[in-house]
Amino acid sequence: MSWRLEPRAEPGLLVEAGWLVLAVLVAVLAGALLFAGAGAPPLAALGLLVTEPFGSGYGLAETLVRTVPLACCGLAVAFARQANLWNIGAEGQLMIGALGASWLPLAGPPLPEAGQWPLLLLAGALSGACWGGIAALLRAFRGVNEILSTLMLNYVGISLVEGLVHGPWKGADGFPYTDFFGPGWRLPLLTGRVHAGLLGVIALAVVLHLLLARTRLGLELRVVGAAPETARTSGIPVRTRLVLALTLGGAFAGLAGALEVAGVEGRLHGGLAQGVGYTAILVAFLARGNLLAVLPTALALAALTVGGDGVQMAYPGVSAATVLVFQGLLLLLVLLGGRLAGFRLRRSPGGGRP
Amino acid sequence: MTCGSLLTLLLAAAVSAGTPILLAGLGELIAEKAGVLNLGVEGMMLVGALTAFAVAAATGSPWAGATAAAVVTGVFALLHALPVVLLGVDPVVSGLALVLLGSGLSASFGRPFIGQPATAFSDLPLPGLSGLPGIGPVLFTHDPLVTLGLLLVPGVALWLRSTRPGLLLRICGENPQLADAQGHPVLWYRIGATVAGGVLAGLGGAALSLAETPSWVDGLAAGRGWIALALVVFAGWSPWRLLLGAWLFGGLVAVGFRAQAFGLDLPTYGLKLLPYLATLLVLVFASTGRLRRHLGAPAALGRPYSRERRE
Amino acid sequence: MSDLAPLVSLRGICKSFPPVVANDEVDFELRAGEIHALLGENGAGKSTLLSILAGLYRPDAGELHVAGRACRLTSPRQARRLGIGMVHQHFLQADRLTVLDNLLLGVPDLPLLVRKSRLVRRIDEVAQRHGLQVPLAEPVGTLPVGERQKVELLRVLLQEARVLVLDEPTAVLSRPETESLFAMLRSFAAGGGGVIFISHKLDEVLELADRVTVLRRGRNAGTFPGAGLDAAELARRMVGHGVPPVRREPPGEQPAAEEVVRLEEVTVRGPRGETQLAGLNLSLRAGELLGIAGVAGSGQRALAELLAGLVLPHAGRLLLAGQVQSRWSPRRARAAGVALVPEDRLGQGLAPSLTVAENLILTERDRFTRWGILCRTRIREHAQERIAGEQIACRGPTARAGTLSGGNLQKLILARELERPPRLLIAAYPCRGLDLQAAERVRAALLRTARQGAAVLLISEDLDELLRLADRIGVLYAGRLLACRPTATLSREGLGLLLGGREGPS
Repeated sequence: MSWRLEPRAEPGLLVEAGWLVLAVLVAVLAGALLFAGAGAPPLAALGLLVTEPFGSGYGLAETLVRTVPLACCGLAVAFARQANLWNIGAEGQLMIGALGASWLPLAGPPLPEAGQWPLLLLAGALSGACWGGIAALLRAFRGVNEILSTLMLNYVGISLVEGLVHGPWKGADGFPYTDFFGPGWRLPLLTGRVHAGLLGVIALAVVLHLLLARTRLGLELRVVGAAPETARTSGIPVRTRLVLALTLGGAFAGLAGALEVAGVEGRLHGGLAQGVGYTAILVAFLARGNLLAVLPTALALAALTVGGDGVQMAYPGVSAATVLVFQGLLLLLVLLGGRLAGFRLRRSPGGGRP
Repeated sequence: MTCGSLLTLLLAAAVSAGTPILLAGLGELIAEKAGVLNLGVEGMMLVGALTAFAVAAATGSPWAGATAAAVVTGVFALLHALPVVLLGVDPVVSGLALVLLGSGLSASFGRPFIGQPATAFSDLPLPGLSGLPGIGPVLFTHDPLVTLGLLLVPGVALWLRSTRPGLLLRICGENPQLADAQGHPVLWYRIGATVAGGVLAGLGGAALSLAETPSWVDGLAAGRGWIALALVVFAGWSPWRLLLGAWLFGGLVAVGFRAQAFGLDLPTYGLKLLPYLATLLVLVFASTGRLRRHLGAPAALGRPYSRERRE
Repeated sequence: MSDLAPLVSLRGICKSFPPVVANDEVDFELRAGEIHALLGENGAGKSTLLSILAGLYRPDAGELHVAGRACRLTSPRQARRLGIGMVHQHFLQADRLTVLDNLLLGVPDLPLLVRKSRLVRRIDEVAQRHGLQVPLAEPVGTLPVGERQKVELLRVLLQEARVLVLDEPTAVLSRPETESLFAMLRSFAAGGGGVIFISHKLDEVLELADRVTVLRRGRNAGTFPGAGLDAAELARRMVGHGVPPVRREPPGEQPAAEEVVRLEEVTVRGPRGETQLAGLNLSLRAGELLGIAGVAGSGQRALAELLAGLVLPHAGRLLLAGQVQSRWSPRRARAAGVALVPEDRLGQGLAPSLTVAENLILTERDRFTRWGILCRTRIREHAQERIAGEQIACRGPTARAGTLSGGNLQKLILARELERPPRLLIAAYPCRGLDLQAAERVRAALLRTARQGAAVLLISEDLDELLRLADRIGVLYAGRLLACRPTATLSREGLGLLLGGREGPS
């Protein structure tokens, strides 16, 4: 007699949820170990991870502010996933979006104040779409792997912004960021630092969810992602759908950049993205293809960064990158849990192979 | 400075700057030849770079640092190999997790080392060869890891082409059913190849932190892991073409970082873009029809293997 | 070696891939010096039996003796060590590697460092002995199939196999290639080895085999000496004596209906340039059900994909209602009223992760859309109606298609493809894997569609089904349409002969 793993036909919801909870628990345990290793009392530090982002008005506002770009980029990744594409380029699309958005106040034509910030957001989304569109066209018509191309475009995008803020767009004080933009370019604030972009991204998630679920285009995108051959036999133009998925994804990430510029920073600088585009992959993965679920997963990961900052403040031994480690572990463990949910342990007669 | 000596300097810098990419690329090439796609090269390089730096600082020996980097990164690669090969987990997600983990771990544990002087490798001119006119200073007057890279290219090529394990490894990547039907342990070959990929990525990291840019900063690899991945595609899975690509990219990196040192007045950020833009171009070139068919990827790349699955 | 100690003997072998029972209590014996043919229809369990012999599958029950010794085969390596060498039907080769690399894999005790020149000499020697010279430096994938088979045989022979196991070795060979293969096999057997081979070509079975074992529906239907059998007898034993075929009422004298589709000298090549269809001529009229028979891989897939717009002809013309289609595509095919029930239901016919309701409208997206927005109520009502009408067993319109059973998947596809009467329906193996009742429903739907005036092309491996349903039956053989005759003029035996590439008495 020996034990072996056998694939099971369809894992029940309970089994999947069980594995998910287990994965998160193991990740939390590992996080506690990391804290302990860095000289922080693990329980108190874990507690901070919760109280810091949600325990105070300031913390909550900070969490919501960080949720906006994460959710936007999460949508950028999750939307492309619908067509079975990997958009690893949200980071660069965000930067290019911010660049395109900043071009209007810095070098664009004079505009009436009333239309300033909406146009700025539009410019950001368009620039991001162009950036995503490059990878999209290369993939659809040249067969270039979109993972590698979007990634290379990240470095290019970041360097472009760096070059601009170190050069022609350098601020009056000589530091590598632009001057602050005028009040007409700034997003209205809801409360404290929380800007109207929060409402915008919620609306965007809802609209995209409806687009996918309730329109012909959405249906076609999902068929292309789920079964490209079926899409072909059904007469769906597969290539143009692929291009659309990645280009629109770029637009959302570009919008994230514009929102950061107009809602939070008020100016352009090279450190705008801060890995948001990569964390967004985790956001989308945890949302499991559901665009509405991107909002809570983005909130959770934003809370994690805020909480991580809090822990780092309280216990100087803990590094800022601990959050990154935790994210990586979470991704690996949830992936593993999701896969294991598809197996069952069976006793088999005879010498079994693992 | 004469034109000739400038050229020699530049070429030598290209060879040196290409070494981390070359080592990491060779590792990925081995893993992909066995059929395992590992997108985590960037993370593995970072882990290797930090391990090398820290151990070299602690022991005072860059050799110990490089060895430790190889071992630690090899074990790190198991985090990808075991779930992907044994359970058939999505290699893309798993590779991305490796990147996150690698950058996080290296940044966490690397904090005390920022700004510290490196216990770097010193150049070890090869007796007899380094004196050769022209080629000597370009190829044979470098640190030991550059020499290792130069030795590994024919080594890996020969190993893949003309040894029993090399042949079996290639067959695991082309047609795992065949290897299995002949009674060879496909899964072990695949795990082994992934670990070997980790070892070489670790050495690539060591080449960065102990030789190429002897220091430690967060994200030291700066995309070199991803460039290595793209170069494997460009090279059509051939070690020799990978060497060529690595030198080319080393040249671009060297020009980017050393333009001022060479007295050239070029926009810095434009130059920093070069390797990434060139990678994009190279991908487009490598993906065009004829070349792709000629040099295509291993047939079973990225596909999990398990027996007794009908159809 | 005497007859008392057979080279290989299998007793009571059972193997199932739930829900399919592939082998059910099969006994089989191979003597030294004999060539033993394994015969049976597609799905009769021949390949499974051979895979068990090669150590690829482990049987659920049963015993295996090699050279008189009981053993348990747990791996291909063990089978190889016992001297059993398998030549797979779909060559198990690494296409992009050279012939030499593929052969080296078969060399026992391959040294760590492969000195190729020495091994080349050894390979040449074996090749010379068996008449199997092949170009060693070429990538295997670029060779013609006959050469590729030589590589496969050579690899097995390098392993010093005592038992050669060949799965449909002649399916892809030309006549001269076949003859040289037979000569080689005969000399191998004369040297004391044993050969097991699967073939559909009855002539060749009679020509080569010393004994023949027939498998039917996973069971052994008898072992016979090759001498004294004739082709008709073999065909009859293979297809069995089932229920006398119930035929479709022969149509009375009718005015010739309008021609729906016509293929003129159409040639289709595969991605690697291999010919899949060669000079095909075909005409299909409205209201007619044309059956296509043939052993697996004779070009059925290419024919279906050509008509559905998925592949383009390399030569020849495709006419729809008399119009030459020069820019043919899936969209144009759909627009022209072509419906497809594909062989690969989940991969080509459905999107498994989408809901039943969504899958039901895949090909009719415009009808359920207004201003680009899906009309959810109509889609749901439509789904409920079709689910009830076709008795699709599922949790409702929102169930994911991937969770349905095989029979219900097929009902789902039919419900969609037949909702509006098509002008041309292509059905590839529509009843494969279905239980009897589900299959009957599918067959009834096909007949109904034809009666409503559509042209129906039914590709099937089930001769009973074709004889019952089709007005005419064509037999595909190596990419060519051998015959296309009215069903009334055909018998099972005649079809059996045609499948084996032989024009027989009708």
